[in-house]
Amino acid sequence: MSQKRPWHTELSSLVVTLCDDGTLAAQTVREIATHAAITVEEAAGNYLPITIEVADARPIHQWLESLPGVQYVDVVFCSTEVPHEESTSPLTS
Amino acid sequence: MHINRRHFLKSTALAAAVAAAHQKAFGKYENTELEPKPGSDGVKWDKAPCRFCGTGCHVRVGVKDNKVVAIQGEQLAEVNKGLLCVKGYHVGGILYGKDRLREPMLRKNGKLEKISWDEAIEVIAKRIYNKPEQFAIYGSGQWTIPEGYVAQKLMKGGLSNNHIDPNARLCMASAVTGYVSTYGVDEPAGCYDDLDACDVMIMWGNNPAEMHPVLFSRVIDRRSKGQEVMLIDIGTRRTRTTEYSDEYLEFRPQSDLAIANGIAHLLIKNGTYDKEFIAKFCNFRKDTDEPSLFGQASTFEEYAALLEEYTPERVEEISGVPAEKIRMLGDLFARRDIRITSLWCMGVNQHTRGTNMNRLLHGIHLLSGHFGKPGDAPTSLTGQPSACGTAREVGTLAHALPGGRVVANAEHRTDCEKVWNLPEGRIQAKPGYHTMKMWEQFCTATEKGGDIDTIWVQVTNPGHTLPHLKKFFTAKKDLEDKFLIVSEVYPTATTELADLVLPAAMWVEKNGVFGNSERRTQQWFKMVDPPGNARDDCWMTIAVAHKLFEMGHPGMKDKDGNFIFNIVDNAGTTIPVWEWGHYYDVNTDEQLFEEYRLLTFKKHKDVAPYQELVKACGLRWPVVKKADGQWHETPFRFMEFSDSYVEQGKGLQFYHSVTKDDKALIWFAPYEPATEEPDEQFPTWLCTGRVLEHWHTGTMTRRVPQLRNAMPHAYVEMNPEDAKEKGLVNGDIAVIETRRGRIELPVWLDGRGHPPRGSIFVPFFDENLLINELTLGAIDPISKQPDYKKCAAVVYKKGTPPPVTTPKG
Repeated sequence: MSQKRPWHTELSSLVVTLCDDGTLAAQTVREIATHAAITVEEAAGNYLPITIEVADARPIHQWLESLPGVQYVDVVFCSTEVPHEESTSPLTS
Repeated sequence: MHINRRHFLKSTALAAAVAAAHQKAFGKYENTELEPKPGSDGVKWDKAPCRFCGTGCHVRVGVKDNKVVAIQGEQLAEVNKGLLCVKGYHVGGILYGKDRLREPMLRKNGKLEKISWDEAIEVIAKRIYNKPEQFAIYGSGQWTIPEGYVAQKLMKGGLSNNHIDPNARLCMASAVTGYVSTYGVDEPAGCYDDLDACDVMIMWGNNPAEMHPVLFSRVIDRRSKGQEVMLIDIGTRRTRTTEYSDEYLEFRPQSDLAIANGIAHLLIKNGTYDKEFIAKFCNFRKDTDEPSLFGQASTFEEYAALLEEYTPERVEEISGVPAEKIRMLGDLFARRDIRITSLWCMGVNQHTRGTNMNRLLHGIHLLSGHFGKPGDAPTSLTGQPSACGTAREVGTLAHALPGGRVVANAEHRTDCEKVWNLPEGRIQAKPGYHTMKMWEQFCTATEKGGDIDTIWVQVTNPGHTLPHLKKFFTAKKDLEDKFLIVSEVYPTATTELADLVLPAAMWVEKNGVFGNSERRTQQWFKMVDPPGNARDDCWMTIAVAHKLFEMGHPGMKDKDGNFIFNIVDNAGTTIPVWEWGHYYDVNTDEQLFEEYRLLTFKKHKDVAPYQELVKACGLRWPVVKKADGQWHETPFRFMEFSDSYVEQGKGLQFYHSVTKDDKALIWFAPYEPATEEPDEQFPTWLCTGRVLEHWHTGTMTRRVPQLRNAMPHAYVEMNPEDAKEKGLVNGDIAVIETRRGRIELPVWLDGRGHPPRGSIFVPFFDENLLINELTLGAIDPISKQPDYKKCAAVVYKKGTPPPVTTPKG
């Protein structure tokens, strides 16, 4: 229903809140780091800073939320570059 | 995007995420100061509050080549601590829809045609000059404080006309009447710090996980740190908030009144109310025969007797919430070892008994003593970025004046006339038309008594948001002598009927000041130019006022014969800011704000000086200069440890008490059925509301491709069992009818929201599918706020006849 067209984002950064289980959290960080569109920085405690580049960020966001070692995902940065699709009036779309 | 620019932006993005992670983990800010000059990537950053909801998150806006190129959460902002929601991080995109309005347009022979600004200003001035008493302004909780202030002064001080009301009437008028009738003064005592201190958070008809996500994230984050916070969702459908909640109490629409009374009943029956607290700080109240703002005095004994019938079993009968859950709530409020915060928003306010429901929520907190300590707070949230700042504090409501004053009070009128240097008696004592009356009069033929002939709409979209649109908006179409002026940024359902369209600057295309839900006043500077010939709303109002001045309208002169908006330079020389070329010669916003500030002290709503706001990410009023020479904000009002206006030794003092004895009022209000309940012909409850991706009518968010694509159109949420009975599956087109209209919508089952049997939910953001053609238009008798959350509907599959069924709700 809500994803008929891609959720394209040139660049955004997020903070992923990891679970308290250290083993599961470390495994989750490794899994996140394998994603081609994601760059991972060093975690601060349970909080993992990442960036997402040139991707449909919405499914990635949802994928992150679905990982067993993830408690919550917050967004902190987003570029406002106009994506490939032109912005049009919803009155006429 | 050029590779170097991407590289630099990526560094910034990562730094923002690292800083936010450190802040979350260690409570420390790193890498946080804004550079005064552009960085090596050419991007200059400055602070602004987000353009959307009432939370009041601060963002950092990255500008290059006169264009907003990036947004990040402001790490220094106490409200959001560097985080943003999905709308917030796309807020920069709202400026760049392809169909921005760029030129003034006048309807000629049925078509909008480009005209000059001079012509537009003259057209408006002539409409006002000819019939000033039939002119009205319909404004907004999205007005900046200076925008609302100039409109207020033009109308009430200049034209002696009180027909000005904001769209905030549709979203928080019942919160205002709730606060005023309980504490004698508007706006919350607590603040967002309560979310960090509460042990229990109760959400009354509220879905903060989607509507105030940054605040909700703040609470969820406490859980991730190992803190225990019990979340209780009291609602009429399951939402994303429910998924995080420990308890979900589903109630029959309108019966929240009974639940609140059930809690009060148990506190009294079990002797667990806070006797010392109510003896020191509370009086009792009940309504008069005709509902009124201040009602009549009551006693504890009478209050207890009136609550007698609200036993848990009786409340279960009314609400559908099991008696054991009512007891659970009663037991929680009875405890002194925990702190309870109640949050509410549209579910409680958009209610034909919204004032009463607000009163009852304050009442159970007062009765139980869950008030006056961080974490113990009854707090209403607002939906618009300056509903508090501009609608409530500037007093742009039809009955109000700045700083908590009202037109009906002679002393209050005199205060304003003095600050505005107006002759005595200029301001009229009779309240103007509230929103619903204003539009009803506009949509009624003049010969039938429709005595509003011109409305100027600023920064809002009533052609989309008013309930029962046929009666309150589109009826204008056939009335030749009515004239609709709309200042807007994009084409909307309102501009479609406009006779004159004015292209407006928005957000960081102009200077501004907002006031958020926790009494926090937030300032920002213009960062980029508006497109084409779009201009500031504040300028438009001043330009029209000056045209009236030139035409000889006596109200545009002060006592000394000077123009009522006299903006000067450092030498005191008048700057002709009514000419667009001079508008930014000085900071007009600052001068208007400082004039407004003089009116904020009477009710202890002291806003900070403009230059203090420049330095801060917002300050919560009252902002008071103390012996250390510094300006101090007030997180917790009425509480001695925080509020400078509480007398020493009082601890807690309701210093604007209705009863003039420093006590708040605990009200009794009965459960009363909804105005329109399901019946055989219309057997289903219809509830409307918002979605995460779109802000209100989608005028801005639907221009952001990422947001539009994520939620492209409206839908109807149904219970799967109801859908099955009607032969509907996901994606089928359902017909929804009420007594006021009909609409066709795709069905969404098991999506985000899960309505119970006998009810449906439809979001209102979609201008191609206007659900407000179906909503009721019934209003709260005190606040005059309409109910958008409940009316009776029938649903059936397109191509089949309407079924005849019995009510299930």
